[in-house]
Amino acid sequence: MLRTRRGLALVGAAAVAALGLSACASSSTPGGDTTSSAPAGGGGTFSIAIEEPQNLTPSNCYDLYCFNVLNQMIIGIYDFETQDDGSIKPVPTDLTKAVSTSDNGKTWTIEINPDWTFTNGEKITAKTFVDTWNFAAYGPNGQQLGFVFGPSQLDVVGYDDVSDAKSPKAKTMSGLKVVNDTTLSMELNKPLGESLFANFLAGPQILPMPSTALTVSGSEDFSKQPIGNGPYKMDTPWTPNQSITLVKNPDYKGSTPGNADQIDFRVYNDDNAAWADLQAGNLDILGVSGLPQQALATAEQVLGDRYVNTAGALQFGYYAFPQQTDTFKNKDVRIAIRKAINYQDIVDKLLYGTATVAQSFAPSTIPGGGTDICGDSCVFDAAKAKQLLEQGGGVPGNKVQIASIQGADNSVRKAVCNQIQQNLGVACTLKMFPDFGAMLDAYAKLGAGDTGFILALGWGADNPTINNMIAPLFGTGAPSNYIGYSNKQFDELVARGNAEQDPQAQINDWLEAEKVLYGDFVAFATTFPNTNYGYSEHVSNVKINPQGFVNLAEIQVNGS
Amino acid sequence: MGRYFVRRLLQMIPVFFGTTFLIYALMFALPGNPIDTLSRGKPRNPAYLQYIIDQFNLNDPFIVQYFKYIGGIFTGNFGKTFNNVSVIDIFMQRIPVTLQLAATAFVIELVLGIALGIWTALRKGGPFDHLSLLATLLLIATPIFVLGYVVQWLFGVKLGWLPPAGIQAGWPTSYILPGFVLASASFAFVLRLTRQSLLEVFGSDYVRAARAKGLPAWTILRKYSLRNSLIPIVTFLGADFAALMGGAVITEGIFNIPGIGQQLYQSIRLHESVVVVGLVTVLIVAYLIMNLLVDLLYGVLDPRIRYE
Repeated sequence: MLRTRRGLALVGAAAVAALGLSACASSSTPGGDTTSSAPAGGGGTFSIAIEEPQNLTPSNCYDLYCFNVLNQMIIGIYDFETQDDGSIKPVPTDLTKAVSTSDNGKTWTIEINPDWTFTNGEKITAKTFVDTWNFAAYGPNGQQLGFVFGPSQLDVVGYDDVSDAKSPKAKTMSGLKVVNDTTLSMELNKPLGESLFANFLAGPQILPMPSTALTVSGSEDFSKQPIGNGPYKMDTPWTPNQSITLVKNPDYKGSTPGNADQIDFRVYNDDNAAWADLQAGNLDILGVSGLPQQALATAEQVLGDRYVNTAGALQFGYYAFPQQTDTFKNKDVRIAIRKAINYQDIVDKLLYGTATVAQSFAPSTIPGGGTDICGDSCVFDAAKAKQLLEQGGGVPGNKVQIASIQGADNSVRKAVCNQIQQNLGVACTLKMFPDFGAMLDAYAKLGAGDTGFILALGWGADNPTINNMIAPLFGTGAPSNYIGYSNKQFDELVARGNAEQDPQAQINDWLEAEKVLYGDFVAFATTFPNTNYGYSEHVSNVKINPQGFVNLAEIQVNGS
Repeated sequence: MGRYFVRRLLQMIPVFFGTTFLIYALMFALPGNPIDTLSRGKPRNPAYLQYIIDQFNLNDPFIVQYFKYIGGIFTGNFGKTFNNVSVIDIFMQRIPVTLQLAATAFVIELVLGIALGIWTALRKGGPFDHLSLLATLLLIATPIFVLGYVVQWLFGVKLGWLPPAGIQAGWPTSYILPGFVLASASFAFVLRLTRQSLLEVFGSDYVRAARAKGLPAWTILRKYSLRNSLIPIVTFLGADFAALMGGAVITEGIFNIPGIGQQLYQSIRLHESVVVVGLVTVLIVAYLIMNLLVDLLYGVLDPRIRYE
């Protein structure tokens, strides 16, 4: 599970956002369109490979797999939609009537359409959302995604009072209020730009849950058989480690009912087995987190145009240099290491062209992504690299170590190491750790005199913003800032961008922040994996977006 | 006999405590910590971490954790995974799957191994004997994952005779390929063992005497030779059945069989001590029971063996 797409990264993608139910998703007629029926040729059953989802409670859903399931079952406030140019954007769902801010992003009013119900008959009102979110944020409930209401993302007023795990001061966030049956208001500590706010409200954490699910034991029961308001529903509890079966929800009120009658999610612990099943016609869709590396060499030949490979998944690998040791103290040395690595070569030969070399931390599929921030420092040049290394005084012991995890696919890291060795004339080895936790522990314990090792990490973004590509990793004290990076200028630029209402100004601020980051060069992005997947002859109109969300409701089962 | 049986059963109690303690200690000693591994390097909600720590007593010293776990077992609470699935549910789901797989493999190695072993012993030095020596050597030498992927590709993908992965098609269809792969190495052992053991018995005086008396070859085999040559084979098969249950990690992985091996692998990676301890304990009990059965079978096969 620690392995992600094509072995690039150490960290699994915990992407948290919705797929493009697209086309009609932005219509917001009150009550939705109850009469719409499946297009001609609907019906049938298809199967899709996933890994075991950790949990099917929205506020505890922290991986791609559970969200692909939940997203078919529950409609929330925003949904991600793929634009014509391939980029992804959050748009209001059928359930949402209007979202507006009265004071430049500090107070938000969310209006929903009346008459929506859960499949258990419970009415969905403003109170449903307020209660669900309070449940998620309340510390003693121990929900994984409670933090999105906290300072690192939405920063709702009163979050600190409820978030303590042992003895919170309050049960509900004071910034969250029911105005009337269909309207709620949310007050934030810091203003947020509209697009960022929408992005934060498009993940599983905001999906509504019926009142029965809003206790710890209730949520555990809910996870066994979620109850929703979406185009599909679960008729019987799912079987952990085997399968999840969704059937069409006849009471669905929205405008995008599903095509197929039934969706079978099949749990695979080894994606090579899924690849064998796909080739044998026993499985219809594979690639929520990419095709297995073993399949890449032959995928095109085996599947023909049923193999899709497009640039810009919302993930990247990155290398980070320890700052607390003297090993990589000199910036020239750090740049020398990057310049000694020919990533294009690795992409072509090892990854069969299924990745793009990164010149920034944001892939081309997000607004403002794909900009060349790093410039010459990230361009392979062996001679220059060697010169920079000498200029920077070399590395102690003429040795470089790259952290790796046992059992993970370390082929790319090995290739990188070989190139460093060859191009810089220093010894390079992989420093093996049993798991992610052990690696971080060792990293945190590094002292000034110790020999530092380079961290090779990966990041799967929660939402398609530059903010999410850099802020959680490099903001001072940010939750995933493992390298302990801290730069005031960077923090200020990110914060300024967050509050910016004008989308372009917001992007510019974040790009400036990225420039500061590359100026310090304590970390660099390596490659962005492509989105690649394959499907059987049994289905058509299969699309997996750069976040790894499948357009399950739109998929057509051939011949039915 | 009865006393012997009871004594053997009672012996399992200290073994149970010893193994749970050892496995728990080993899990505790694993480097890294479950919290970091569980959250996969994503931002972690402190409230969630606290919840997990409280639920699983992660802040307690080792010995306290262990006794809380044992205490739980005696009140019928075997614990749960970090994803809130109870260990009992995991047992109920996975043990039948693993049993079906192990049984399939066991039948394959038992029937094919003994039958071909007898044949090669009867036709000693013939072309089939030589061929089987070559084939079994090859099987024993091939790593199981190589064989697994080859068989999966050939029979599952290329020829499409059997499903390449999963258990959707049910027993036996889904279990034949993985069962064969799982059985392969042991099958070769059983074949060689049967052949060797039979040849030894064939050379003994009483078989020669029976042959001299003009008894038919089939009767000699059935009444005089086979039963006596079975003891080493039964010993091997008994230990092997238990090993088949726990040792199918690779095969279960390749063929996506949701059995015990797969769960063990996952749980060890996630540091889910209670799951690992629970499953390993079940495996050890299975091993002990198989051993006991083997010992009892000795008495049936060879009446000279008596138990007090």
